[in-house]
Amino acid sequence: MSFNVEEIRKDFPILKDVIFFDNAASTQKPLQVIESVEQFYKNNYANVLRGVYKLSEKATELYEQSRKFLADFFGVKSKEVIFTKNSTESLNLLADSLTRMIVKKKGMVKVLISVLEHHSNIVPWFIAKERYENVEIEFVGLNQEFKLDEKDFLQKVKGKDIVSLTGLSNVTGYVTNPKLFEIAKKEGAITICDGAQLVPHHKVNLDYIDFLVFSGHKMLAPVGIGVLIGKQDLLEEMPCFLGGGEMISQVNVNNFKAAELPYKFEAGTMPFVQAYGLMKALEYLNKIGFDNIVEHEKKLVEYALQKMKSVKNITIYGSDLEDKTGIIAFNHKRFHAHDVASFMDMRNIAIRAGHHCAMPLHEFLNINGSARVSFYFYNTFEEVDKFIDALNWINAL
Amino acid sequence: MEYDFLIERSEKPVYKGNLKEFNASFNDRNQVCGDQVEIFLKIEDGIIKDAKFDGKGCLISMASSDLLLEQVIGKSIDEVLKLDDEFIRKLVKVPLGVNRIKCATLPLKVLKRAVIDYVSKNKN
Repeated sequence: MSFNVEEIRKDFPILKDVIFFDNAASTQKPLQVIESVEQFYKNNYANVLRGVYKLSEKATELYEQSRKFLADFFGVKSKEVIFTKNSTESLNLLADSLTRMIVKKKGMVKVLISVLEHHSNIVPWFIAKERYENVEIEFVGLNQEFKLDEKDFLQKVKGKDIVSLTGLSNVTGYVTNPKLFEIAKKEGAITICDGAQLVPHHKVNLDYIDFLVFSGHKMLAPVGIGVLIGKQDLLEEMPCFLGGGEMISQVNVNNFKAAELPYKFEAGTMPFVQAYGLMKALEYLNKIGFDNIVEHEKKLVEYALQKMKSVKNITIYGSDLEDKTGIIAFNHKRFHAHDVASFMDMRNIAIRAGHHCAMPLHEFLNINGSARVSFYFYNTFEEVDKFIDALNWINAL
Repeated sequence: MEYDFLIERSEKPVYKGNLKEFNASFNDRNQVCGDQVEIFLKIEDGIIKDAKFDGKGCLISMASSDLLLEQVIGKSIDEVLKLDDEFIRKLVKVPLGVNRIKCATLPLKVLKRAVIDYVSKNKN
C-alpha cells in the first residue's frame, strides 16, 4: 500500500487541533479503533469465558479471536499470549514469578538490566529483591553516544539468570542491538525484551527473546490492555502472579490449582474489549505497513535533528542517526524542560518534559530532566517545521 | 508575552539567597518538574520580618517563590496560614493546568510548613 500521510490523518480527527509529539507516552486512536470498541459495547458486550448464553459466547469469541490474531502476528501459539493491563504489569509479573521460580531452584537469581530502562523494568526487580532477598541486580552502562555499552554488556552478561532490556529507549530513541539478546540467550540467560517502545513501530524477531512485553495504548489501541508473550515451557513452570477469577482451575479450603495457559496468568475480569481494540489497532498498523512506518519516522527524525542542530541553545541527547528512531530528547540552555514544554503548549505543540520514568538514565547524564519529542507515522514535516519555529521563538524570548 | 514578567522574575529574583539570621525554614520538592525550594524566615512577634528562598527548578516555581516572599514580608503568621492556591494563581497570572499548578504552589506549601514547624516549636 502506498503511504499517504494526509489520507491517514483523516482517521485521526484530533490531529487537526494539535501537533502531537508525545507518542512515546501514548498515541492517538484512529476512528476504526474507536468505532470497533463502541460496536463491541453496543452489540456484543457481556463478561467473557464462562457465560453460557449467546452474548457471552460472542464476546468470548471476539476476545479469543484477538489473542489468535496476536499469536499469528508474532508467530507464537495462542496459549503463549497473555493479556495484562500494560507493559508495566507484564514486567511485574515476570520479575515476581521468574524470581520466585529461580530462587526456589538455585537459592539466588542474578539479573542484568541497563541504565536506559524505564522504571517499569527496574523497580519490579527491586521489589522482587525485597520479597525474595537473594536477588542480584546489575546495570549495563552507556557509551558516549548514549547507546548501550556493548563491551560492558559482554562482561556483565556472564552468569546471569535473567537479562531484561528495553528494545528501544523511550528517551534516546535508539533501538537495542538484537545481537545482545542472542548473546544473552547463548550465555544461558532467560531473555526479556521490554517492547513498549519497539512494538508500536517495528516487527520484532522472537528467536532469542523468551518474553516480549508491550502496551496497547502506545500503538493506537485503547488504554488498559497490555501483552506478555512468552515461551510455553517457561510459562508452564512459572508460579502464578495474581490470584482469582479465570486463573483458577480448582480451589478448596486448603489449596488451589491454577488454570492452564494462557488463563493461568489472567486473574479477574480482563480488559477484553480493549484486547479487541488492540487487534483492530494491529490490523490498522498492518494496513499501513511496518516498513512504511519505520521509513516515515526515520525521515522525520533525520529532518528534525538536522534542523534542531542549527537552533541555538539546544543540547540533544543522542543525535547519531544509526539505530535512531523517532524520539529526540533535548534541553534548552536557558529554560527548564517543563518551561519549554509549556511554551510549546502555547503553540498547541504537545511535547513531554521530565525524567520520562528513566531517573537512572538522567542521573547518568547528570541532568534533572529533559524535553522530548516523539513521532508516529501520522506526524508530518510541516509539523516539525512548526516545532522548529517554536524553538526559535523560545530563543527570542 | 504573558510569561515575560515571570521569566524576568525567575532570572533576576529579589528574594533569592540565604538569610543570615532565621528562625524558621523548610525544604521540599515537586515531583512534576523536580523543582526544589527552600525558604528561610525571620519571625518576630508573630510577624514575618524577613524572608529568602533558595532552590532550583522551572521558571514558574522560581518566579512564584520570589513573588510570594515579596507579599509575605510584613504579614502575620496567621495571615500566611490563610493564603491559598487562588492567591498564587493571582500572583503568577498565567493560566496553569492541574499538573503545572503544583510548580507555582510549591513555595506556598514550603512557606506554610516552615511557619507550622515554627509555631509547634515555639508553643511553650
